[in-house]
Amino acid sequence: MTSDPTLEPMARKLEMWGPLNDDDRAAVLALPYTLKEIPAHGYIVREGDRPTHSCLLRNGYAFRQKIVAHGERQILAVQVPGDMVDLQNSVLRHADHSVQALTKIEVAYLPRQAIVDLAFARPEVGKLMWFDTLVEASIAREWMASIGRRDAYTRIAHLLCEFALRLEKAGLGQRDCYELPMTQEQLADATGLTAVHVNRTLRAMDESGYISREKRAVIILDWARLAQAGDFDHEYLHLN
Amino acid sequence: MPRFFFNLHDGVDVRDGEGVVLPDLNAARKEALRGARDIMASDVKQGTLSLDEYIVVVDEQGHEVHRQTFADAIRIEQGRDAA
Repeated sequence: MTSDPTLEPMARKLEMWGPLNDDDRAAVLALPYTLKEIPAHGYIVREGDRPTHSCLLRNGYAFRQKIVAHGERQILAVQVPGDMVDLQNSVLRHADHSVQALTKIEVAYLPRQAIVDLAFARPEVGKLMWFDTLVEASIAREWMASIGRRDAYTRIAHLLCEFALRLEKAGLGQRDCYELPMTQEQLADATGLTAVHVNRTLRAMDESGYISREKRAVIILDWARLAQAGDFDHEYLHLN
Repeated sequence: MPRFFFNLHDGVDVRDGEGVVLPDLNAARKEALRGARDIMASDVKQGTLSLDEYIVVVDEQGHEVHRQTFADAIRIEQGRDAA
């Protein structure tokens, strides 16, 4: 009996953190879901919602954000295809931040009870889901350190290195050449800067010879130097 | 919504090839002010500040619609309350 492959990216994402035996894997693929296409800037979940579903990002990119008092936006995380975008919303009672589509996306909405039931019926699956949310928290801590204590140049270099590794691990690019579907304004919102400042910083990086850019493609010409400039140590990604 | 381009003149002339989509010119002025202050704040943290830099805001037709100098972006106080 062939299983529905729609949730295959979810199984693969969980397998980044540990093995799934055949039965567990089949149970993940058998989760109920609703597919939806959301245009760029559309909301997957809004801050304050009482979520009924978690969501698998099947393709496209999404970002987590909060708007602060004067209407300024902070991008809290970027999600790449294959990510479980808001696994936490299977457990938490309300959404504490919004998640929006960066590009046009296709998502699979999974009923939160089904996820919780699966996690406890099959503890190995539950443990991998837990691991996944913990890695997200680790990335968030690293972003906090960046925005708190790194200067503009370092923050952006760090982000470029992080995306390179995450996209490579997700099978979406090479670490030294990938497409970054973010505008300078979005990069600014992710790093606590402004678009003008991001532009100046990226130009300086071009001039240093660390990167080269072609529209949205980022080519990392000198990994070692960019990682050093970005104070980047990949351990927080828990990739191995 | 219109797109505005924010070209930084800092001695190296950083051109904005991408721009920012904003509701109107007023929003573009605010963004230029924000950008100027952001760069200045970052430079101050590095121990430098250049008040001679400026941002030229250009519309999609390439016309200059606003100019924000760094000097006008902040109010500097000095010489008060000398002990």
